[in-house]
Amino acid sequence: MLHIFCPHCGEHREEEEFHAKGQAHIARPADPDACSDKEWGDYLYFRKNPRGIHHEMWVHALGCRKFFNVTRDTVTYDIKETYKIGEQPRVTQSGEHS
Amino acid sequence: MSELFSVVNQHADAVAGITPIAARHDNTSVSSDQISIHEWPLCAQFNLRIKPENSEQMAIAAQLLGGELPTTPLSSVAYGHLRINWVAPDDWLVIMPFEQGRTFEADYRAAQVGHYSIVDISGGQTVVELSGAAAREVLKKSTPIDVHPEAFPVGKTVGTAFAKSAASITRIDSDTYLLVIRRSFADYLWAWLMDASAEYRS
Repeated sequence: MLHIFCPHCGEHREEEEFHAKGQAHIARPADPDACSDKEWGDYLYFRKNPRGIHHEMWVHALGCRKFFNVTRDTVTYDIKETYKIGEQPRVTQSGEHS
Repeated sequence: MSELFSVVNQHADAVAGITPIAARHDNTSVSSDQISIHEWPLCAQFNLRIKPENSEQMAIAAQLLGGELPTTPLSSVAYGHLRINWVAPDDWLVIMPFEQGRTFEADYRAAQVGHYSIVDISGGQTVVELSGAAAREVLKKSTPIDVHPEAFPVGKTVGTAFAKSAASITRIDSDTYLLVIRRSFADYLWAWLMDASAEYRS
């Protein structure tokens, strides 16, 4: 079981309270009508599947019901950080801590 | 009084006394010297949503509720017969006697300004009170939450998993906890509580 820190509740909770919701930081094209089919297709269907650091969206489904972001290592399952929607990750693939 | 409540008014007598567990079980109150479990009578419950940064809306809410909405995460407060649980930073659960709910919503809609939400969820969930020395033992069987007194002080409220369902658990006194559970899971959770508490009632 993962022990996940909810940035809204401010404490660690069991994994069973949460659901993973896929890749984070996907920006909807500002003007969909101006997108090429490839751009729109990439936005809708294509997701990263990295080995190592991955930024994911999770929801605290049974707790505060809020979405937030998780930086997780897909190899070790180690959760590096959690942060609110709209914030930027501090831990990135290159290992930089900004 | 607002038109909103005409349906509730017509059926006020019919719904009084009907709660999700009482509808299926003759006895909704059990107790021993170690534990006591009972379902509250039908309450008015509202989901309130406003941005905590909006001081004007927060002040209007505080005036109608008789006190401030708690902004500390996971905190619960009581003002007279009214209880307010923090659910999320912009989301609160308000529980009050059923008779007060009908005017509260109308007053709130009349007084509140801007972009806000108030939803009557009285019929969607029910309140079960657990008390006694063994109440914490029953919770420990049922939820992954740490209910040690240091981690779960009086006045803390959490939304969490409970048995195979979900519940909001609030510690309202040193040995007293409130569970707010979904109506559709009430029968199952009552059966679960009866089983989990059996060893403390024999």
